[in-house]
Amino acid sequence: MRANAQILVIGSPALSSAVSQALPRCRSVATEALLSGVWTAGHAQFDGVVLSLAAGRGALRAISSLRELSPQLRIVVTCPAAEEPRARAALQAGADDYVLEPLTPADLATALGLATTARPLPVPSPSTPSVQEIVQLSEVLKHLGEGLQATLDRLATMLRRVFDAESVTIHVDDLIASDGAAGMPVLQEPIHQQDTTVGSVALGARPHGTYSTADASRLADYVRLIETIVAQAREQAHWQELAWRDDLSGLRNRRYFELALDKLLARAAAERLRVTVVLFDIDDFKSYNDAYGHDTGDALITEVAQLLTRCSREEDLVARYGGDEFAVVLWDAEQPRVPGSQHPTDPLALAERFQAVIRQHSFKCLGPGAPGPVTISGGLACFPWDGKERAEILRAADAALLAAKRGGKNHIVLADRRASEPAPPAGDSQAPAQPPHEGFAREGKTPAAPEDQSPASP
Amino acid sequence: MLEVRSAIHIRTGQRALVELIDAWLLRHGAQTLPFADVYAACVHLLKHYEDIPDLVLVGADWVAADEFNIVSYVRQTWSRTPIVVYSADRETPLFDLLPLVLTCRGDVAVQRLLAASPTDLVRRLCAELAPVTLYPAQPELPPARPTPAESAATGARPALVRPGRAMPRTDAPTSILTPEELSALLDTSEEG
Repeated sequence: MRANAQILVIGSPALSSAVSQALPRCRSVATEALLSGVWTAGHAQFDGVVLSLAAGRGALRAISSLRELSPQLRIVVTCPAAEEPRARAALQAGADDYVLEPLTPADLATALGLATTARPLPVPSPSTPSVQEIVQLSEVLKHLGEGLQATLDRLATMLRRVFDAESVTIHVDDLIASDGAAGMPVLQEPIHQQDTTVGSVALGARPHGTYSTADASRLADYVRLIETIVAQAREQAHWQELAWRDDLSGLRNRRYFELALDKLLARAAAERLRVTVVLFDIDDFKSYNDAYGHDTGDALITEVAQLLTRCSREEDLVARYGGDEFAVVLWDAEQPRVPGSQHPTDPLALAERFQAVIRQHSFKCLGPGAPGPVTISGGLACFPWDGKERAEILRAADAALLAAKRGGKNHIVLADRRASEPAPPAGDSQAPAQPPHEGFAREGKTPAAPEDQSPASP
Repeated sequence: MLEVRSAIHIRTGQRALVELIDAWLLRHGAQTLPFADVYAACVHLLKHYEDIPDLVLVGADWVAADEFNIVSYVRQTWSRTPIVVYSADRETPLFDLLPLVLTCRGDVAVQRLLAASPTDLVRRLCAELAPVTLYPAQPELPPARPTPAESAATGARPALVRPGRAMPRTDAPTSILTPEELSALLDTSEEG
């Protein structure tokens, strides 16, 4: 198309003004209404049409009408970046190209096919993924189990490399993943799940050059892939949730508890946090099962689980460890251990609260004829004083729980390092248990200040 | 001579009325060219301006900007073809400033209109709604705002779609009604 082409502008006065400024050598005729634009196009010869998608609801129909009137007419649509998918629909309707607002002279001239001076053409993107892209995508799929947020983070990083964008932002429901400095989106594609738009992928500008329609098409292909990945990640999260949840009590199960404790201990070692594990056991649970039946036993477990959850803090982890055993992990992310600190006493107060609440609770499942208050016993072990590994700490807590049971139940006993050692030979098992004192009993442990023994110690 | 053999129906109005009009045209054996929207109708006007219909029917909503424009284009293309704009909404603006255009608003008014045959309707319209203005010898181009760049343009280019506009018929009847008389007639036709 020659540089002094005749252009029909269909859109707001601001658009016609922008076109006139961008293409000063062209002659342009402007009209605001779409139908008027079609009518005008039929009465004079134009080399090109610039049509704003904001000109009306019938924009796509107007485009197809223009195309029907003149197969050779160059039709370019404009729209804000957020409506870029609609611009691609305009291509389907018969438009030749689209330009995202705000308009630049170079973009407009290129879209209209006008002769311009020395404008670097964007490097066309390859139509097939490179080996590097396939490797990156494989990495994303490999780590699908880390959750949707982590998956989106990886995808954002991957897309930024693929499209050479200054920034990429992926938004799915209330999750946002971004890579690069946030900027005005230039290319955008919605993410759908079951015919509903749940988010979008937005690419920022390119450091060099602009996006082509091939890029837009390629982004659409990637987003279709992302939709599949998001659906897969959600399904995996669903099954994982089921695998980590105890059906009866609704608490996390032992599988989750052990994984979470491993992670927490690793973090505690690195950040010098203190972690306390309390193992609880319902006293004489078998007698409730025998007297009231297993349904009542199940209901008792459920009620105890609810009470433990209600008494715990948001950051605490409450899990069903086994039959009538519960595990609670107490930790405080904001209070790292300091040199010379002693075995913490706060967890004892928390454990006491658990115990008191259950003792005072009137269990509906037992009815008014309950033989007496339901009580629990507990064994408490702390990182790093009672062990550095999960197995050590659990062994220490279990030994303390056993001591509490032997000591008459309805007690919480602090672990003794010696008790956490492997079980002694059978001959020593008859050794009398340490007598608990009121409320809490400690098995003769002298608290140490193992700061220098901490895994996190340099 | 005023027999309705062919009609154009721009089916942009309320669906029930659109179907009523379709059935009416079918019942009376009028060959009908239907258009789903104003854009398709506009393309037809531009490409087939020589196929002059005997009657044009246009459905309209209460916001009828596009319909008003298409009626205007029909009138520019076929100056003597009667146009009936119908709407279920009694608040739809009147289109009657253009010659030989009847606006029929409200279900009852439409049904009363359809009591007659298309031929009788056209005869009545031609008798009652004679143009109040004479058409310009050379119709103007549709409304378009010249931009600063265009103001510097020189000379008009030949038309892309067709070499010239459809020339209005020169035997247009002279005005026999004042605008007030026309309004009175229209008010009568909308009763009910």
